[in-house]
Order: sequence, then C-alpha cells, then structure tokens
Amino acid sequence: MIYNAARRYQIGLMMMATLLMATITPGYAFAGVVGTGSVIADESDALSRDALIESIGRDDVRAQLQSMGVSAEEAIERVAAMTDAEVRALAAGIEDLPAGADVGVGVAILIVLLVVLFLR
Amino acid sequence: MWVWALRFSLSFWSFFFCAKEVARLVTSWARLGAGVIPLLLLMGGCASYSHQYPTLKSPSGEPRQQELEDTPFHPQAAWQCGPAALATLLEVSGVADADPVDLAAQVYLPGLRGSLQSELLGAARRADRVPYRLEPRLADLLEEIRAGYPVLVLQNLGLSFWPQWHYAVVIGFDMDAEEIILRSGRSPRRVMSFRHFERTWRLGGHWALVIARPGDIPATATASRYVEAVSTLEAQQRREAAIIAYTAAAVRWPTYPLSYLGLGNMAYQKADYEGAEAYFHMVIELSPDEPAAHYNLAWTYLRQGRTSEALGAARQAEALASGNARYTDSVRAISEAARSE
Repeated sequence: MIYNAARRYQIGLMMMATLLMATITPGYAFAGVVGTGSVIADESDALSRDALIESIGRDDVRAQLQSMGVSAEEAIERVAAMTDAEVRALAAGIEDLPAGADVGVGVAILIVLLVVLFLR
Repeated sequence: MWVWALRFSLSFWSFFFCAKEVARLVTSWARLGAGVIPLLLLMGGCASYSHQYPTLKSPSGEPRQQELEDTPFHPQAAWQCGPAALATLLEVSGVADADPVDLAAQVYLPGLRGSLQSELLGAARRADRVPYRLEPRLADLLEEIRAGYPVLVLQNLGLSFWPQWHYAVVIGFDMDAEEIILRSGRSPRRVMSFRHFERTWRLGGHWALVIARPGDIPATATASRYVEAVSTLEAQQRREAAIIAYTAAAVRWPTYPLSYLGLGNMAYQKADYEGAEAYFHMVIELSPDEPAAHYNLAWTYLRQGRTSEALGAARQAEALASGNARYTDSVRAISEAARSE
C-alpha cells in the first residue's frame, strides 16, 4: 500500500464515512432492549453470541465495495442494508462469492459445445 | 482428442470476435483445459447427487402446470441480470417505481461485473420489503409459484469449478413435461428441463428468493425463518415495514412468541412503552422461559419510571439466562441505567 497524499485523503474520507456509518448501523443497540434477530440467532446457534464481540468488518466491506467501483455514499447504504451475517460473508472475501451476471457470447458457445460433448 | 476438437472449433469461432473477446476466451481456454480433462474422467461417477425432481408430487387437486403469465419482464442490460430480476420481483410485490436502471445503482458491482446475493437482499429491504429465502427444496419453489409468487433464483450456468453465475426469475412449471419456465436475461420465456434447471440451481447453492407484498407471507415460510427475515428490518429501523410484517406473522402463527417480541421492540423503538409492555407480556405467556422477554420488559418498566418492577423483571431475565451473556448481568445493567436517569 502506497502512502501518498491521495491515499491519506482517501483514508480521511473513509474515516469520515465510518463516523457517519456509526449513526446508521449500530448493529442493534436500540436503547437497552435486545433485538428480535439476536434472540433468534441465540436459538439457532449459540456460537453467534460470541460473534457479537468479534468485529464484523462493516468498514472493510464498505471499503471493498468502494474499491470495486461503488460510490462512497452508496457503499454505506448497501452495507447498512445487510445483516451482520451477510457482512461477515462479504468480509471473508467478496471475490469468492457468486456475482450473478450474464453469460457472454463466447461463454455461451463454450457451454453449448460442452453440452454437445457430453451428450455424445 | 475431444478436447483438441473443442479447442480447434473454438479457435475457429474466435476469429469472429473482437480482440478483447479473444483475449478473454484465451484465458477461458486455459482454465477450461485444466478443467475438462478431470471432468471427462469424472463423467462416469457424476451420479452421486440424487435429483429432487423425480420425486416431486403435485398435491391432490393442485394444477400440474402453472405459469404466472402476468409477471413483468425486464430484459437485462449487459451483465445486469441481478437488477433486472430484482425489478421483476419488486414490481410484483407492489413497488411502483421498480426500475432495473435505478436498482443497478443499488446492486450492481462494477468490479465484479455482477450483483452479490446480499446486495439483492439489501435492496429489497431498502424498498421496505421482506426478502424471504426459500429452503433448498424444488418442491417449495413450485409451491410458491402455485401461490402466485415468482421466485428469484441464482443459477450457475457453467461448471462447479468454472462458474457462470446468473440470476433468473422462475414464473412457471409443467410437471408432465418436466419443465421450468423462467424470465431470464433477454429471454421473456425461457423453458428449461427440470433436470437442467435443477443442476444449475444446485450449483448456485439452491438459492431462491421470494418477495411478498407488505402483509403477505410466502407460502412455504416457517415462523422462525420469516420472523428472522423481518428482524433485519427491525434492526435497520425500517419501522412501518417491520410492524406490518410482524403483525402478519402474529396472525399466521398466533402461538409463535417472537412475532410479539418484534412488535414489542417496534413499540419500544417508537417510545410506546405501554404497548411494548403488553407485547412482552404476551411473549412471556407463550414462552415463560425466554429471558429476552423479561429483559426487554425490564427496560420498558424502567422507561416508565417503574424501577422496582424493572429490577424484578431483570432478576427474572438473569435467572433464565442459563449462561447467555446477554442476560447474565441484567440486574446490574438495569440498576445502573436507573441511577443515571
């Protein structure tokens, strides 16, 4: 990672975004009470209690989305609309997750050929 | 030998593509070459997965084929099957201005030239809808179609080690012809055999999504999965949508306690502490050993200035905590909050 002025500016922006984020997604911390989602998570998986302590990496994911061409504001919105589990999955490696797209012409031909190959 | 025949025919085709396409294909070949040989060897042993479709039964009196013909169709732009498929579902769920171009801003990831599953889920929540993930059963998928819900699926149209991810919307099926009907890519009515569809869907992790209108619940939903899906809206303080969905859950599963916990939490979020108190009491009635109900009840008492009752409820929560760290310190949390007020 190269630390130059631009990079520092970028980091500054990220930190500002983080501050902003803190007001949007505090996990679930609505003045005391326990969120319904946490109760269900406790029921289905005792391990998830410990995941509370673990940082779930919302900021990492947001930064990754930005590096993949999403605007700063939009990246905040996207991460805010995800559950902790979804964020954790993304934090583990966005590039390994399925990104539904399209099948290009070349790929389509390859697939047709493969199918022909298998059916023979 | 077939591999070489394949490669030869590919190089023939490649002359018709622009240079960039050729470059992309060359890298594809390299990956393919590594993959095809073991695949050919494996072909004899591929039958280890037992398909679901041969065991499908249609419930008596239910139609053996169905097609949701009124489902809108949004032909996808390049790489954008995610926004297109999502727009279809959102429109069906009553979102008036669901448009693939606007949705692309919310779910398209330029760096991957595609859309992630969690982005689709997130965009549905942003439209104040409850995205419900089906269980990995083909029978459930067909049941949703019977109930009138088109189903968004993730397919892998390639191979397990060389995936081509694609989102499409299942709009119908024909049990006799063993066919699935989809809105897919640029095709408004793509027909796939059960067998082919199931293969692509299985390679996509059996991922299927239904988005109902507010207040409706998907046909195959279970209480805990549905309420869990709603709890995400609660956590994101999408209050009106969460209240409508929790209310629907309480009507459909009247003895499931956590819908009332959700309604109590929503009342609490809106500072309606009397309402919250009533809901938490309902949870306790249905599930006396649920520490969360006592814990949240303690907070609602506290907000109403009823400190001694709050401490009593906190003691209950602590007694029921059975090692769950959320509740083991309930009394201290409540008494500290009481002091600071």
